[in-house]
Amino acid sequence: MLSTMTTALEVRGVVHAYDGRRVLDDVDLDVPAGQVVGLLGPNGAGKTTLMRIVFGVLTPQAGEVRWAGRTATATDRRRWGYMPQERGLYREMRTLDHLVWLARLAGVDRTEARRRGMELLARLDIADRARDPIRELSGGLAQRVQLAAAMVHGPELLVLDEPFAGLDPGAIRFLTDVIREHVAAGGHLVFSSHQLDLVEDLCERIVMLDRGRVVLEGSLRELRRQSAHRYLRVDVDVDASWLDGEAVRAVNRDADGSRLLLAAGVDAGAVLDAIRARVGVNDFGVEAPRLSEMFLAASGGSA
Amino acid sequence: MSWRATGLVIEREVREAARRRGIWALLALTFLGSAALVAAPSVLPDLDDNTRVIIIYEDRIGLTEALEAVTERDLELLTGDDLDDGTTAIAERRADVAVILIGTRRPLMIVEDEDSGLVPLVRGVVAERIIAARFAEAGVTDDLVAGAFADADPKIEAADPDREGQESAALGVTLVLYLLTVVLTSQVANAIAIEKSNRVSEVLLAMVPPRALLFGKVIGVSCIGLATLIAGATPVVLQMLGGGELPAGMGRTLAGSALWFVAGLALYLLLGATLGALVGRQEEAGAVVLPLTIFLVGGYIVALIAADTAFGAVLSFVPFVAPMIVPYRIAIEVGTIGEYVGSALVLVLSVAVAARVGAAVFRRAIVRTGRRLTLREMLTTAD
Repeated sequence: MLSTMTTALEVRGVVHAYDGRRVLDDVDLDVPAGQVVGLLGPNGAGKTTLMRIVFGVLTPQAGEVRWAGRTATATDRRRWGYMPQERGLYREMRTLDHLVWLARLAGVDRTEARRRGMELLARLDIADRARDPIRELSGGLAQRVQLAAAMVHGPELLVLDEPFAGLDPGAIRFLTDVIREHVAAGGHLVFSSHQLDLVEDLCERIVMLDRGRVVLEGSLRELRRQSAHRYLRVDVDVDASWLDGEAVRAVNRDADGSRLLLAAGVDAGAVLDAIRARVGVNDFGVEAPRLSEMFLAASGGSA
Repeated sequence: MSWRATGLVIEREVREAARRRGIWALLALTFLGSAALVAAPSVLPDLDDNTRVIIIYEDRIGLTEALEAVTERDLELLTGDDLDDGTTAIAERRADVAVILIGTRRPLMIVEDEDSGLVPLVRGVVAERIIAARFAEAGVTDDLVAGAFADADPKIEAADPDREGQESAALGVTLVLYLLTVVLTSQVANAIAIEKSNRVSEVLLAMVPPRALLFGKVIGVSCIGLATLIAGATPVVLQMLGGGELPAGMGRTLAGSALWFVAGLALYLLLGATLGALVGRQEEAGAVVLPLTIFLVGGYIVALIAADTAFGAVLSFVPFVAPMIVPYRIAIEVGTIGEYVGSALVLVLSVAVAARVGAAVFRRAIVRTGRRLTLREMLTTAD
């Protein structure tokens, strides 16, 4: 766990229940500056509830949200930016007006809010739609406006709930760049996603939730390095009967070829040689587990 | 509560409303409708414009002179020689009343419109002239007869000359409050339901306290209602400035009802907004405020038929119907100061309770999506 000196947002021991059903059970979350933190897990894991608690929209039954070493206040929260899973915008409002209004709600004066709004729209490449009502924007452009709405008051912390849901590859790349820019500038950022493999290249730290409990958390690089699992990827279809069942614990085949889960301490080169004895291999690699595989291992394959 | 945030929520409501053409159309229609009502009495023709009387055969009783002396209406007198002249003149719309006098036989009147005020007027004059003629034949002078008729004509005085104006004032104030409350309650519930379903409220609650969001919405929608009210009142005010007069009792009714008007609107809008937060889908907004609409309709009906009864006095202390009944009671001057003060205290207290409870329910319900929530579960469960 990071110290308070380096962690701006700390969630400690949060418990929350709906109608007697516990949806968060003793959850911790750390969001240090300069790192992309992924709050990951399947649908219904409790990610959105946790984000609502972070923002004070919901009050937890136990636990607390801390900012800069003390309990977070409403004033702190006004300096954060939140993008909900579903689009939270007034569809009939003009794009720039909406951004200016939200910035003013966060305490920015009107002139400065207007300047920031225009600057942000230009940065997100939608300045030409500033006077258009949001209902006239496509889904992708509305998503950019939603992101702008979360960023217009220059938040110290950005919280994005399922920001990649429903986006095309171009929009995903664009959003990824914006997230990296925010973090590179020293900002704090946490986003949630249930599309684990989609976001594994973006996350630096992760907190994995399953049925309201943290099942895995820490630096993604460290977690991968510490994982006992290693996979051999080859670009051909591999039949499990070719291999020693003790050395290879599972063979998964897909359109790209096969992915073999190696037993601990097994020499990947020997397994590769066994495959090459059967069929020619053009491309191969030894890989750490993917996020989805780490999740399945951590949750006991429940998802 | 954050007043700045509340102010910004109000500002957005008003500014976005001002952008909608529908609002301007509503304001224009309200203004024009009110202007038409104000101007109607001086512009519209008098529907009872009957003034033409044709007298058939011989006028031995001095009917022509008597009708010429009538001051209530500026009569136009015609004469005819033939029995059919009366019917023909009426059919051809040359006359409104025909009086047929044949010797000493009972006079006959043929009329175009039995309900016209001209009919009893002419009938009275004819009867008076015939009786005067009989008295003259008996040797009684015209002066004595005229004096007797003058003394026999009772002077008519209204028991309460202001009553009609007061009832009009009561009806007007109650009707405006009723219509405004019905429309705005539905509007605020619908607006909250939309914000809940499209998750705008979730974004806002991250920055704005729920109370500021709730009150800002209620006050913002009220401002739009106030603008409608001003549009409707402007022609009346202009008429007053031009030397016109308010109907009797209207000024007192407006001044005395202001508190019930404002507090009643606040109560219903707070409850409408709170109930709007319970919906699962926007389409449910109408159904969720139905109980409020029933209270409003009930209060309005009771105000119309029983405001001046003991039942009306009791209902003055029921906050849901008091905003309809008390203005009516004030207008028609029933009730006591003590009753008004008590009613006002109960109503203001109810608004305070509605604001407190409404904010708590709103805060809990606005982020609970998926199904329609009940008021009971929102009151009994924690966040």
